[in-house]
Amino acid sequence: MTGITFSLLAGMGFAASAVFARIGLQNISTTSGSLFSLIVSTIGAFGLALLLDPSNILVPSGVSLAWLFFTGLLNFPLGRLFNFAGVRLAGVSKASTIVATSPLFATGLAIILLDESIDFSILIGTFAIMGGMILILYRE
Amino acid sequence: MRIQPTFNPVLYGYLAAFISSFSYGIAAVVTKKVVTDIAAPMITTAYALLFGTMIMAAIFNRTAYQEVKNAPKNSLIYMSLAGIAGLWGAIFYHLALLDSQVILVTPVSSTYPLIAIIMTSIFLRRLEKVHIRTVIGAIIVVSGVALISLGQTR
Repeated sequence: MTGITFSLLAGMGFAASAVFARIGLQNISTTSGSLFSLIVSTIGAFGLALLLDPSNILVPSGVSLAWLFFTGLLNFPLGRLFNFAGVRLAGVSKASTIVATSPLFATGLAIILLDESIDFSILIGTFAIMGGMILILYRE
Repeated sequence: MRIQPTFNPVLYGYLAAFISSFSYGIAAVVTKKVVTDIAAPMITTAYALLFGTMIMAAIFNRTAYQEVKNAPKNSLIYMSLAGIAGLWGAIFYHLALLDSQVILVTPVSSTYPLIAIIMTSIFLRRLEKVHIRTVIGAIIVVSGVALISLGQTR
């Protein structure tokens, strides 16, 4: 249950971020705006890390740093930049809904890499996500 | 007769959103590995953000510096709020991945379009109209996400 609560709290943060970005990106380019918001996030993250987990702040070794670099690359420049670009060009509700299909990719990777099997509810859920997507995109 | 190339910003917006979605999908699996075996969620968040910022700065630093310098204060305030809200999301996402499976966390955290739509209809009426079709589509998408979550919790 804790995982679900944390996931919902994460969702609230991502939603608020998309809405604020929609307003902020009216007078600044997506790339500059994304970079600026990332700097703010980074300063905040290191501030919190220093407060909450100061003993581990300098831990990362070579291999750890490589993993963290890969995590950063996928989550922030690729994920956030294209998310903001989508918000700016297509609108917050449509872009956010498309970005919300990422569980399809995560589920697929979990099946391939973690050897998990797909059950009936996952299959129906996948079709529901695709149906919702088609409904949103069809007008264009 | 010459055919003029046309730029459809909405279609490019969809493409950008799909790329973002794909990146987040891969990132979920990688992040699960990192928070489980390599570093605590807060440290993972901080370093992932640091590397993300460094890559972005390396690519866009020239234009970004001038643009941020000349940008209206209001834009910078809203982008700061976007950064803080994004940080909030990232921290709880990493905590959730430490606690639960990828296949459960990613669908539940992806319910945020509904929250975004509610916020949009309240705060951004001037900027963007939310069509009933978009709302219905978002509800179906989130229902699908919920079904996936339920399947995993049984």
